[in-house]
Amino acid sequence: MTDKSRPSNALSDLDWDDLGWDIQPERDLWPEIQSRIRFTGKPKRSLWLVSSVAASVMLAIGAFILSALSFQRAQQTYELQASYVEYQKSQIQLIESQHDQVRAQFAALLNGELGEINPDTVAEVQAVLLTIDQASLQLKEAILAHPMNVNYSTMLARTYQQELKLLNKFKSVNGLPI
Amino acid sequence: MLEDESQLVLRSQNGDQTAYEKLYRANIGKAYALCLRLCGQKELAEDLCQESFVRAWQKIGSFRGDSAFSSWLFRLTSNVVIGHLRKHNKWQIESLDDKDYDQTISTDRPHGERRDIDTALKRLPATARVVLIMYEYLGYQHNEISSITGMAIGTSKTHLHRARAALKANATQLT
Repeated sequence: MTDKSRPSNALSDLDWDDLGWDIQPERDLWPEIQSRIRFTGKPKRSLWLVSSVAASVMLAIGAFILSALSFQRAQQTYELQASYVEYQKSQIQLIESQHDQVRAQFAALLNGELGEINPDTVAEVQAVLLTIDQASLQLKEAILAHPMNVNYSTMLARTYQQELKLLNKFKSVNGLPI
Repeated sequence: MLEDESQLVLRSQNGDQTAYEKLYRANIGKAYALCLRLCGQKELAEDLCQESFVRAWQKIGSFRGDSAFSSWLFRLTSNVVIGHLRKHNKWQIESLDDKDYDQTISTDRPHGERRDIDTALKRLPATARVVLIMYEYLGYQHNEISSITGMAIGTSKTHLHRARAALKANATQLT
């Protein structure tokens, strides 16, 4: 019974285990104990096991609810993202169609007035338009790769606006109809 | 430790009084000796020992087997005895009832040395004796003794120191 790891220098002369720790009482105590424990019935089971099981169940339910909510949120985010991508595509298509129209009108106009405009200026404008086309292409790729990033679509719209301004200025400078 | 102590404990936890009687038979000698040395009175020791086994039955469901059943039982028993001593202000008792203590202890003592130690133990004030037994025999720490007995940790240490000194002095006298 004595804790053997405890320093025993203070009582080195006293061996507790040898002191006679087995003394029977004069009367048998069991009959009285038995009569008393009969009234108390079955010992109460410890609540720690029940508590730990209950805690585990609660934890599992909590985790399930959390994961279900997370899944729902993820699904909602995915659906939102998908719908936004569709919206972006439709917007790009609209801008593209308008841009194509402007570019086609400008090309037709330029072909009709080629003899009237300085060939160097025409070449310079065509080079600028080519650069704009390349930039637009890269922006469209970026939009498809990052559909939730609105900066790319805004940049594309601004690029087309700048192109439209450039074309209008070119027409104005060269006396072409706007 | 009994060979099938864990089985007896398990059966007792399920309400088997026969199994619990076996645990009682295996531990009554030591539990009673502990009660007697703590309280010093034969009849009171029997009553408190009986109370301890009833409480142990009621609480056996909370015994998780982290230690031997006897260790758990003796700690519970010491709590019952000390609770009784505190409740009835028996802390002031300076020494034990010589007649009861001597008659009972001497029934199982083949060696004269044990009697001398018991004599020295008997002469200790109740608080010092309780602290000494709880610390040396039951393996309690001072903070545990403090929480059970209600005495300050420093007081517990002082009692232990004095009890050891008294026992050492007694041993020196014998040699």
